[in-house]
Amino acid sequence: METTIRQATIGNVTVYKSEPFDPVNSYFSSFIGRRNELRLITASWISGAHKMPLNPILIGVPGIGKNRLVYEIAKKTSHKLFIFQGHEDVTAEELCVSVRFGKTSNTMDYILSPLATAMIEGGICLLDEIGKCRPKALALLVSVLDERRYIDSNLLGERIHAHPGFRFIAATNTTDINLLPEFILSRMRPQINVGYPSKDEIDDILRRECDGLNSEVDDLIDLFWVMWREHTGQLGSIAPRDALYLFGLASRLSAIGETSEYAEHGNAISGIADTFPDKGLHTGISRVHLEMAFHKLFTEPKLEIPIRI
Amino acid sequence: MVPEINIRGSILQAIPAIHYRSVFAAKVNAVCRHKLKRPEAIAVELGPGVTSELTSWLRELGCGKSKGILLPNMLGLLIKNRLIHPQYRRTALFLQEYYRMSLNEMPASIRNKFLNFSDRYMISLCSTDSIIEAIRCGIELDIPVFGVDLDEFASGQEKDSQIEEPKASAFNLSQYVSRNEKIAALARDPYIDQRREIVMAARLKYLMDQHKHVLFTGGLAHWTQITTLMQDSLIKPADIPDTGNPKLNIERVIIHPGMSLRFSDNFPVMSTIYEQNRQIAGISGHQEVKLPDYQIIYREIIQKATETFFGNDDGVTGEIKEAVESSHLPDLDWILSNLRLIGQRSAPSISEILEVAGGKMPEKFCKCLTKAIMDIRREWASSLQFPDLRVIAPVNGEGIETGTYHLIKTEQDGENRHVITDKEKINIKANNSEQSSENKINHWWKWTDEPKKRKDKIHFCPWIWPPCEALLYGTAARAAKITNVRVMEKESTIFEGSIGDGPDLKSTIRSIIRGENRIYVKTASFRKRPHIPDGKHPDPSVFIFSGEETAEPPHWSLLFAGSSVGDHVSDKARFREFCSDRGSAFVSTITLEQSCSVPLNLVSSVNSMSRLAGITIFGNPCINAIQGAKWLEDNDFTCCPVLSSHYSGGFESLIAYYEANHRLSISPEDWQTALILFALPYAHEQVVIIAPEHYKPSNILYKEAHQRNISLSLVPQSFFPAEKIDEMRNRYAVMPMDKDGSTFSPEVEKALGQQSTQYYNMLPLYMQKQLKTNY
Ligand SMILES: Nc1ncnc2c1ncn2[C@@H]1O[C@H](COP(=O)(O)OP(=O)(O)O)[C@@H](O)[C@H]1O
Ligand SMILES: [Mg+2]
Repeated sequence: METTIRQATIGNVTVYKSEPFDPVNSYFSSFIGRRNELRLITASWISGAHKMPLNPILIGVPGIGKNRLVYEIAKKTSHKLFIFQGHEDVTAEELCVSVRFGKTSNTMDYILSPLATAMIEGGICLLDEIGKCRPKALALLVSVLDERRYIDSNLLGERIHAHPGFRFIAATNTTDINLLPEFILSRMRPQINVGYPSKDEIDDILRRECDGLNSEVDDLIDLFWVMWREHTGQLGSIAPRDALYLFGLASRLSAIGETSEYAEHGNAISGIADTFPDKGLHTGISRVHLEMAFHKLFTEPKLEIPIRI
Repeated sequence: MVPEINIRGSILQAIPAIHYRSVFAAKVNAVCRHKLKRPEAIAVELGPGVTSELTSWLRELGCGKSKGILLPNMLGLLIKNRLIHPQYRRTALFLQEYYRMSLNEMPASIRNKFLNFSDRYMISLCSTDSIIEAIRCGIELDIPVFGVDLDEFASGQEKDSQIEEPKASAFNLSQYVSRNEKIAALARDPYIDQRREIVMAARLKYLMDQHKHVLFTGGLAHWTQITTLMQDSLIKPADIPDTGNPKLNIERVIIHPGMSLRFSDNFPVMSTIYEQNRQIAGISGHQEVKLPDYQIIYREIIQKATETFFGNDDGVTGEIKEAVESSHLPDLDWILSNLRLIGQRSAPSISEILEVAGGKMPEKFCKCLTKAIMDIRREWASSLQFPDLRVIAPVNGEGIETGTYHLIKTEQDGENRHVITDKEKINIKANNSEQSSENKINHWWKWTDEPKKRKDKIHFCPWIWPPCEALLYGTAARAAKITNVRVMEKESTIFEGSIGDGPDLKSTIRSIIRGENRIYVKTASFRKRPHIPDGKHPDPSVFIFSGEETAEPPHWSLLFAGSSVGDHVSDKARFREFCSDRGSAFVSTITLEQSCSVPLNLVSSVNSMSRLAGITIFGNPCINAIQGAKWLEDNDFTCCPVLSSHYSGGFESLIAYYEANHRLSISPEDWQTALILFALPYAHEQVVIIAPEHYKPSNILYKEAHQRNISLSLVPQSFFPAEKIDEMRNRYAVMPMDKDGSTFSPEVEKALGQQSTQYYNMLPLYMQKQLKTNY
């Protein structure tokens, strides 16, 4: 097999490789905490003379930082990262190769999936939302996860062997874990539960996100926590994404000087997100903005009354 | 060799240590047993008050006696603390402004999380801690022990630093200290620790003025600073108060094994090994306490867990065992040894072992593993040995905020069991990873000496506290009295253009005979007549309270007339027949309620507590099974819905029951309407609805009521005193002393401040009589 930049030859077929995902530094604020999880993944991926690397699976609620954890470890180990986004319509073959019409008529291009690309390049493959894939689609994965470390493509009629550097990790929403068939689950170990960061860690995530913001950020964070505690009865137990989203929304509200009218035209927000493109938060978030954003995201009455039966 | 400081002919030997690590304790022991190096005084990094309390306790436990003792594992001191770190000043001001209350009124959990403040901190009597060892040696050598630190100080944010693991088999303290003191110092809090180090240096100087040979042990993190400050001539010697702050509030406690790990060396069994190998300081010698490397203990734990797992056959299939043997176990070992490599340690930590096992191994194996970890080759300290001490124990369950613990008071019952008599919730600082290991330990492992629940032998259900029922039903009876039943009657009126319900022939003919020639038609009309509540055949009532915003969403719940009503009916044959035909679970009330946490002063007597959003009562309070039986029999079992069994799916089967038996499809979303619809089929004349002023029953209700010739009588809530309405909403479930719910212990009455017969006089006379006669 010979590889060029975007193309590779498998058997005697020329295929196109998937693009690696490069988490751009400037877009992500710095990474906080998660030392145990990082170490556990690293430990699972070490291989030995008679020992294959293991295939961990990250389990956690949406927005808790599963993807971010993998980006971080890819960065730390300078591995290329290929993300396969799982969903209901994934087919077994797509896990390996898909076809599209070529540039010239009558030709077909073969596109290697992120999984297959990671395998030949010796990169990391993240199968995100694996719980959303149908069990049938995952059948081909079995040989990738055990000591065989290859995947068979019917389309190409070829077998793709993994480069020794290839590492696999999957992520799933907590509620989907039970949908995974046992033949996959038993090969995805260890299960790493990604839990809520502590209050201090959320504080740090927010502080770094608000880097360069006025010194009032600590006050805003306090205000956020008292509102959150009133709303949920707890301190902590918030996914980073929700916390970041809240401050992002507050920032946008402040950027357009939105204050009281918002109360009356609650949906004024929808358009704003697009008109405020750059990274970094607007520097003038006031308590009012934060309160409005909080209301919008968390306390605004949803129509149905929650009744547990 | 240990680090030394020489000042004007006096020598300070120091054991800068890492908490709970036995190698440092062993060094303290070695210095104290060394003929030539033995100190004349000992100084430790603790406050004078705490030090003197520890000294007297260790003496009481038998330290200093010629034979020596094994220090129980694990006891502790709980010390009141009042100081908050100045870095939280802004937050403190903000909280006071926001909640409009002062800091001491604020819930402990808020202070804990926002201000990193717990009103108590723990010092454990961990044998492998160098400070505890130093105090013991002081007692054994009969030399003075001084606490040179502050008794109270605030805690800042915890920082962790990666310190090299001390290795027992090749430990050189001086080299270790010089390699690690700088790294350890990174975890210092500049504000708090600087002050403490100045105090410690000044007091150490004072001690060196008094004694030629002083031994000091304390945290490695402080050592660099202390050596610098000791050389600083600006720091003047400072006297040490004898016992420190007299207001210091210290309590001796037993530390539950499930939370003891954070106060232990890497593995809890180290304490036993240490104790067994330790020599008392009075006996001179050069042999240091022999300690195994962590690696060896780790291997033993895995070995033991594996043996127990494969050794017993219960509930684990061969297939699982096969998988564990062929892949899980090697993988576990592989990950753990990799973690050890990454962390540069000889063995993984307990939290890592548990974390990896939890994500890899079958539950059964995890249990064997925790059992092996928690096996300290002797008994854990418990109420059996220390009946007067409270036990500090982790609180299990979901949604518990980190740092919440119970202080449990126990008492021996007739059968030699230690039962819980009192529980106090307290907050202690805990970080996420400590908490998560503790949760796992307590999930997989049960302490044999766990304080028992008082009444866990009796197998019956809690009942609603009778005064709650009596107040509610009594109020309903009063409301019924003031309503007028509107009775629909057909009457004849003169035909004036509307045919009404048809011509009334009789009246018309009579009119013709009388020569009036009027045509009479029948019309339906409502007449109001006063309603006489009937204690024997009561009508259902509905209470609607205004909804409240709480974190906990309301849920539906059913109460039954009592699972033992069958024992109390007089016609047992009829009862059996009815039950086999229709079911045996008689629904006496349907509630929509929110669970509340039981106030601390009630925890020992109240099983659970809820607050009503609304309730449908079918007429009789069924305060106990005897009353329930009488009511059912009086009404030939047809006064309420009947489900097939007490476990038959609860609310959903109730909905199905109404659909099948009354052709009512009730949607629980509109809960107010639902509650009234539940009542309708069982009403004779009316359904009394006690609701807020603004409440208007929906049209469906009027339609359904009309079809059944039932009146809906609205009584505004404001008719009753607001505080009674409020009281009515609280439902306490308590454990009676018998399965019929007819007697309650005086303790329950005392805790709730009510006789169990309170409010009985509000009930209709007939119902009061039901409660008086006893079979
Ligand atoms: N430890 C962390 N430090 C900094 N930001 C984080 C951390 N964890 C999550 N985030 C941020 O939170 C958001 C949600 O994380 P993501 O990884 O997409 O969650 P998930 O994949 O679990 O749904 C992202 O913006 C991510 O950058
Ligand atoms: Mg994701």
